[in-house]
Amino acid sequence: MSANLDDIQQTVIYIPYDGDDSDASPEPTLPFENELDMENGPQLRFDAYTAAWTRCLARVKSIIAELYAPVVEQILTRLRTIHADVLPGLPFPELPVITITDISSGALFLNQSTIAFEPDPGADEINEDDEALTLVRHLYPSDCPNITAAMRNLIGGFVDQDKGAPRRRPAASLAPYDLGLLQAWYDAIDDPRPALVVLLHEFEQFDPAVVQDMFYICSLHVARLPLTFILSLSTPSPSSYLQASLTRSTLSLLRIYHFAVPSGPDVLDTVLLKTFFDPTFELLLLPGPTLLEFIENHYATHTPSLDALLSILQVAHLKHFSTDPFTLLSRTTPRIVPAPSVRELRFLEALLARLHAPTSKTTADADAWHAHARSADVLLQAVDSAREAFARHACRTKLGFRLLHIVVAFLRARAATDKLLERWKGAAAVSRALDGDGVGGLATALRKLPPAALDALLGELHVYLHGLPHAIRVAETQARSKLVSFRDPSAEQRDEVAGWVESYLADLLQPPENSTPLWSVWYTGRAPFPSELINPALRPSIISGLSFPHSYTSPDDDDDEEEEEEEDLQDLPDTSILFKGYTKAGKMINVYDWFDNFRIIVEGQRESALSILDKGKGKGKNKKQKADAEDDEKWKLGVQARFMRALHELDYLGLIKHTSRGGGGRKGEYVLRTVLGVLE
Amino acid sequence: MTSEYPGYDGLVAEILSLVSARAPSFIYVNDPVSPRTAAFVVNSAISSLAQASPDVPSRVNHAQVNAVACLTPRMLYDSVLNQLAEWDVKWADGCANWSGDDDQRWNDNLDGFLHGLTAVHSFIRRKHPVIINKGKSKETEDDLAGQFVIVVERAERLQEQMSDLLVPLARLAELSQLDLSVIFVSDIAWEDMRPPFGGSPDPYYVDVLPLSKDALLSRLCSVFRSISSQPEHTAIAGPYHPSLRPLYKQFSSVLLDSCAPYLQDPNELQYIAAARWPGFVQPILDAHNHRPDDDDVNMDADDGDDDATLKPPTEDVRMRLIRIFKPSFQAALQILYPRFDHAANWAALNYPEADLLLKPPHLTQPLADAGEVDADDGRIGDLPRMAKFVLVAAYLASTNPHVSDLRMFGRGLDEKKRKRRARKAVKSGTAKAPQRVLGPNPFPLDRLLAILGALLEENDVDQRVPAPEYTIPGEYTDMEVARAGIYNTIIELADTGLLHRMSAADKLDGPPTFKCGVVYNTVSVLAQQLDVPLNDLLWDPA
Repeated sequence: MSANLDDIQQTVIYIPYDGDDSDASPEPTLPFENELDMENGPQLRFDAYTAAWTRCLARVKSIIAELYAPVVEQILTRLRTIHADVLPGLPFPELPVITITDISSGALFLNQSTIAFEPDPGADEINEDDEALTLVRHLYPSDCPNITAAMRNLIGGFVDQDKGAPRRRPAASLAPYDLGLLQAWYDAIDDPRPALVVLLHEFEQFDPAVVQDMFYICSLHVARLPLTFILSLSTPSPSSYLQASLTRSTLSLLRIYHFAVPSGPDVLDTVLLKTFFDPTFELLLLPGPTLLEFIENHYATHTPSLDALLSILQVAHLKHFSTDPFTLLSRTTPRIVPAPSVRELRFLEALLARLHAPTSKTTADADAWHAHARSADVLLQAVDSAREAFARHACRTKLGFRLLHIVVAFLRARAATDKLLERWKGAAAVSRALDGDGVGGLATALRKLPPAALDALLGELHVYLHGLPHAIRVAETQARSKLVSFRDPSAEQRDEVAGWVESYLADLLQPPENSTPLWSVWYTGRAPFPSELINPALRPSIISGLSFPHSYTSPDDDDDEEEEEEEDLQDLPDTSILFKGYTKAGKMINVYDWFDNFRIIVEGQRESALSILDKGKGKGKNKKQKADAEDDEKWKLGVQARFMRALHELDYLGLIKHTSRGGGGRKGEYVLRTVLGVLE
Repeated sequence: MTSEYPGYDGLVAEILSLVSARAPSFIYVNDPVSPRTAAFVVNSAISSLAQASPDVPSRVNHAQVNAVACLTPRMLYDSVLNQLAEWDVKWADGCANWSGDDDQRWNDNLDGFLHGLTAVHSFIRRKHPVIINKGKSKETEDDLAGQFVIVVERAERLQEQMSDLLVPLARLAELSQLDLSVIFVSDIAWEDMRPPFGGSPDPYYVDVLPLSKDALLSRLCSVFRSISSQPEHTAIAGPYHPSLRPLYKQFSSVLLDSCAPYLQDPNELQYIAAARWPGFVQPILDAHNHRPDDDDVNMDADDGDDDATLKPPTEDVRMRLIRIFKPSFQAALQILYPRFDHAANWAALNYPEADLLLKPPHLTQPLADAGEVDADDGRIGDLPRMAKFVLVAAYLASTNPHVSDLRMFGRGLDEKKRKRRARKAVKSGTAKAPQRVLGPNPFPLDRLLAILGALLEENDVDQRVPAPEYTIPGEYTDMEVARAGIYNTIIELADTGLLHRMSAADKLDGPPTFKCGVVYNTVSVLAQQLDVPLNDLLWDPA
């Protein structure tokens, strides 16, 4: 098929794609970046990442489930009695409605509660004796564009579950959107009849008119057909939202119960503390203060959602395991055969250097170096012992956090507000205690406590230590006996006790960096979090992309940015050339001037290209002139087309606003800049 | 029979007399106060008549449909024919509709429906054969199936949902050539839904008047009577024990005195009474359960069997209860009528303290009257920080005139800080209402972002994680405002109704426009949490 582009009769011309249709994009591969890496390093690191992340995810999920369980239980209790528990004397039966408000609008809570509503079909048979089955129908806004579709989906969801349904003749039986159909089905079910629950997801997105009709129709049948609606909302105030979006006559048909999903800073604190600062739980990656601070900040400022928390943690894991080649040692040490390959040798060499990197605190241990250098096995054993050392250290650190948390919570309950206590508010702030901040000043606060309160605190600490697993308890025997000896402190002893608590905590809270030279394998420390991945700034990125296109496209990101600043305009792509003109213009840009500017730069491009070509060629003068005239025509058209294309690209990016100035018609000669004050 | 529906005696009498004779083919019942009750009364009156007259030819065949529930004409046809033919839809039969003897479908279109009506007519005649007197004329033979009455509730919805069907339904008797009557029940007047060009005949009008206080009172009492006659209420000394009936009557009378001036819908009054009564009667039940002669051991059994001892309270106990509870009737009205809460929950929250009657009278204060009902902000304080900033910025954008932005938020080099226009003395003539009262103005997204940037630069900088890479003043804020999270927040707020999106969601040309969806009180709470001096930033502060 040939496309006749000159035919002005055609409004649309189809240009078929000639290229290869097969999906040529390569399979995604693991990054293989470092020359110090082992041959199967990326795979090993990926395995290490999977292990670490699965562990962390499972832990966070179980904590969240624990947090949500009470609310789920409340909803279930309400659901069980919702049709029986009716005030006598009402004019007509009300349609029960439960709202579930989740500010973070995440799916975590609904997933958990739906599982609770709908017990596993397999497990049904066992515990069916005490309660009847609940059937849940999920409706989404896209299911309900109008009332007919909404009713059809609602009814179909229940009725079609029935495998042994008699065949209906579509024309001669009840319409599929007739609630009488559901009624007939329900009447035919044997006892115990299931409770029918309709779960409207993202309730705010439903058309209020459709929802009101749906409620009205269902409320007409509610006496014989026990439907319950559950609305999932993300507004902070469900009652005022419903007041605003539904009419009074609809509201008067409903009996609404409100439930809220736990949220707020306490939830985050609980999750973080229980996940990362629980001495009884061993993690493969300990987050540093920078990461925790980012998490807290993002949670408080942008989305208070645990879904977001999970993605941040996952990105942090990914980043950690993809930047440092030694992270493959996180869980296990690979065995290296007696005759290592070149790559493996290089890796070992780097590992050796890392283990013996000179730090301010440790002096070089020449003997150990020699021993490690001589044999790969010894070196790898050193890695194993480093891992153990870190685990021991992490456990003590976590214990320190926990005790500090107990002390701070205790103080906070007594002293209403204290500037000092603000220092340890939230998980990130507590983890700052590792950061040189220490726990200085804690003793001062403790000294102010009356002896009885101090004794109660010591009791709490002792109870906590006593409840720990055997291994930790044994390690802390000394502290425990000290605690016991301090019971019932007299007023004079107060100073001593306070000082001991502070120094004990300070002793526990040693920075993990000191534990072993390989600490960065298990601890993110102060490595910054790539926040641009989670919450990018769109327009600044577009503009910097237009200003410095080559720093995005060139594969080698060398540090010679200074040179790129000096980049020749001619080397830039068309859109960038146009954008350079844009940044230099005033508030309004005359398109013709802009085009002229563009044309001159492009001419320059052409000339430099031609001069390279012309070097090797010599041609007849006449021939050349004639060809040039033709070429020039084509060239000018080409330049215009390139300009238009670049202009439209800027237009699509939203950088241009068309005006009618200078044109008389709709689109004039001048366009308006939408981005001003661009920094070059 | 009429006493079953106190207050609606006139309506029932009129409908019954119409239907028992040959009813007009089109009747329009208009009840602007409580159409649901009117429809219920009409339907139950007719169906009791239909049951009372099983024999042809005086037989009445009744069908009731709800215009909201009938989503399509097909559904209307099906449900009318099924009811007239007294056909039960069975799941086991695949929910088949009544199809007559020759297995036909009648729900294709209006024509099919008319055929269906005729078929039902002959079906009924065959089902209820009567010995036809030879002497009777042929005309009466046709009427031997009795008459059809079709009641259409919420008829006002026909106009928008099935406007094509309005005229045929009004003329159904004429079209089907049967003894048939269609009754529309609606809360709007026929004039407001009459099809144009005189397409339909004029109906026989029946207007339902608002109920008098006596009628309302007897309605409430009849509710009590019907509940207390149920065995589970007569058995135990509960709030609906028959011996409490005189007290209930007095209670209802006082309740109507407080509420009926504002409210005429009998259903709503019944709703409020149902919510208030259990709490009202609780002190008497408490007193009954803790009679001094009672032994603690057989307390449990006591609730069950010796109800005979639950005596109607004395006059001074009644007076005392009414004095205590009267203010709470208004409170119930203010909460329950707009459904800020539902009856069961309100009743549970407003139970009186236990053993109220055992206290000396001077210690029992009347229950609190309803104060101002505040809009419930729920957990708006739990919103993330950035969402709060966006809401404050949106409120400012919605109330400040856009020409004032530069003066309010611009910071020139000379730090000439916001100078509000000097308030001019109010000129004579109509005073201009402040924008806060007039409601929010729409604003484009760009303006929201600009104001947000100004707010963040002034109030948020010291809360951020330090970022040394931003060197130019304001650069950090610029980056923050441009982040995807901000756009996300704005969309989420618009979804939850805290911002109102004014432009169509699918419009790509030009920036989207919004309106602020929260009121001054809410915003000032948010501004306080953020330390934003809201009043300094308002062009026209309170």
